[in-house]
Parts: sequence; structure tokens; C-alpha cells
Amino acid sequence: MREDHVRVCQLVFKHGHAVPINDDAKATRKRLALSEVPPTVHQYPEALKEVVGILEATGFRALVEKKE
Amino acid sequence: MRNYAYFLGCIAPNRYPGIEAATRKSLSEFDINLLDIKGASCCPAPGVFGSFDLWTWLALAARNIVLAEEMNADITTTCNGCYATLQEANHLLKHNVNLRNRVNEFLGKFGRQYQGSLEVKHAIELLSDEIGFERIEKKVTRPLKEVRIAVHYGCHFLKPSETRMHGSVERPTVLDDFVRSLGAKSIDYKDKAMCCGAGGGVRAANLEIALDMTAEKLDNMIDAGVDCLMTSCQFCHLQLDRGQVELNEKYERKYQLPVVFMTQLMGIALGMDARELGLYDNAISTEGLLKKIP
Repeated sequence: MREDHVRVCQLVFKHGHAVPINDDAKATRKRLALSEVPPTVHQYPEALKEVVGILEATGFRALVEKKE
Repeated sequence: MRNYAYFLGCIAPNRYPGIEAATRKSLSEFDINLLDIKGASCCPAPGVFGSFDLWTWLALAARNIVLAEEMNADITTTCNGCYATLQEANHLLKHNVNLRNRVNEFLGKFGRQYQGSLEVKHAIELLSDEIGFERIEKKVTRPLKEVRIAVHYGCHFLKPSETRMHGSVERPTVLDDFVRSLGAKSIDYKDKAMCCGAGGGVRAANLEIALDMTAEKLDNMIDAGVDCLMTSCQFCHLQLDRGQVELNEKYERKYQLPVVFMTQLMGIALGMDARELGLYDNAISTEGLLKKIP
């Protein structure tokens, strides 16, 4: 796996999203009358634990951390 | 009122909230209520995840589908990549008992089970089939007269045709028909069916190649004399909008072609405030385009 793709995978391990929220997006969401943090794993830490649990169960962490 | 579970994905909520706002607002005008899928994750992306590990891709997609099943609502999404993952995973899991059993072993550890009880629809299908273009046309209060639009279909909405079943993959017309229902002109351009350049993990791995494709696509649109381009996928939207800034900065190009998402365009034609639709939040200014609309 290329380093760039490893980085994308690591973001999903950390945030549950390949493109996580940032401060600019939070401000825009607020201005547009959306919830400041979207109702995804970003708002539900227990959901992120479940996502990471699935990634572990399928052996994805080992694949991502495997040295070529 | 018809409920749909709105699968947000990553790009709309976290980079282009205007797409989310415009989709919620414009669909509600037609009695479609978009429900939150609480705790949904990345779809996961078909290029990066689907290419590297089938079980991870399927299991994570199945979890997102199951969250909607637990809400008793079909899924809709505004991303071709999310649509590719969720529609395809749903198709595979419905038709292959071995895949379904294995995925349910993973999900069972977390008290969930895939049932195969729902459909996954791209928001384009809601506009064309659920609402219908005639109904949209009748509700337009601010027709987009004289606006010349290049529509961009992207790849995953149409392909693979065997599972998508949306007709011609070479000469689709649904987005052209949609644009006409808003009073605008859909302008043909060279290699209209070409990829935006971002998909398949290319943007993440090799931005130079991704941008080269984006530039070719933009040049073809500009050569056709369009006022803007319309996207129906939030990832293509990012590539075609921010990609112009990247091209301008890296290669001293001068791209300034406004990029508008399909539900943002519909919102304008329905008389909504452009600011509330997030049209001033793009990387490339839409101001000139908005001034052109009577």
C-alpha cells in the first residue's frame, strides 16, 4: 500500500472519516444553520469505537501497518 | 412526506456543508425529509478501501446500511463514491449468501445484523424518479434563462451498468434533462463522460495526474463556452472546484469556472437565497454566475 493511501486509512482509524471535519467547515456549518459537528461518527464517540472494532476484526490494521 | 436516510459521507459535511444544506432545503420543498444516520462513518471509499480489502470495505459499508435499516428508511446520498460503495455492497450482500454470512459475523460482534431490507438511491434518482422533472419545472420561480451549463456525471453513478441499471453509460441524459427543467441550457462538450480525475484513490496518491485530468475536463468545458459546470457528486465537486485553485497555484493557470452542485442550482431556481445554499463558500467564486441569473 502506498504511503498516501496508508495516511487516508489512518484517518478513518482516528476519525471514522477519510476527510475529517476542520474548524472552517464547523464555522460554515453553523452559518448555514446545520449542526456545528455533523451527526456522524464525529458526534458519536461510541460509534467510532464500533467502526475501529470492525476495522480490527477484519484484519485491516495489520494490512495498513504492514511494511512493504 | 417521504423519509430518506441521508448518507452524508465525508466531503459534504466536512468540506462543502453548502451541498448538505442545499440538498436538505431543496428536497424538503417536494416533501422529502432527509433523516440523519446517527454515527455513520466513511462509506468507506471504493478506491482506497475497496481496492485493498474486500472484507473491510463490505463490513464497514454494511454497518452504514444497517444503521439506516434500523431507521426503516431507504438511503440516499449526494456522493458518487458513497453511492458506489453502498449500492454495490447492498447488491452483493442481497445476492450472495456467503458474503452476507461472513459480514454478519463481523457485525454480530457489535450486536448488528444486515437484513437486506432497503434500497440505496443516488439523489439524482430522487430528482428524476421520486419527484420528476415536470414537477420541478412547475415549481421554478427563478428560471435559469440564458445560463449555459456543462453537466458532469462522474463515473460511479452510471458504472458498472450491470448493478446501477441507469441506462446508457456513454450517452446519459438525466442531468441534461434536469438542467433543462430549471430553464437552463445544457451544453455538450468533448469527452463529457470523462472522470474528474480524483477517483480510484488517484487524488490521494498522485495529485499531479489527478489535476492533469481535471485540467483536460475543464478545458473542454471552457472551449464549449459554458457559464458554469454542474456536479452531482461531492467528491467530483471538490476536485473540480478546489482543483482549479490547485492548478492556478501549481501551474500558473487562470481557471475561474464556477462549480455548482445540482441541489444548489435547483435551490436558486426555486428562489432560495444563494447564501443559505452555500454558494459563496466555494473555492472558485460563483458571483459572476449569480449576477447573470435574472
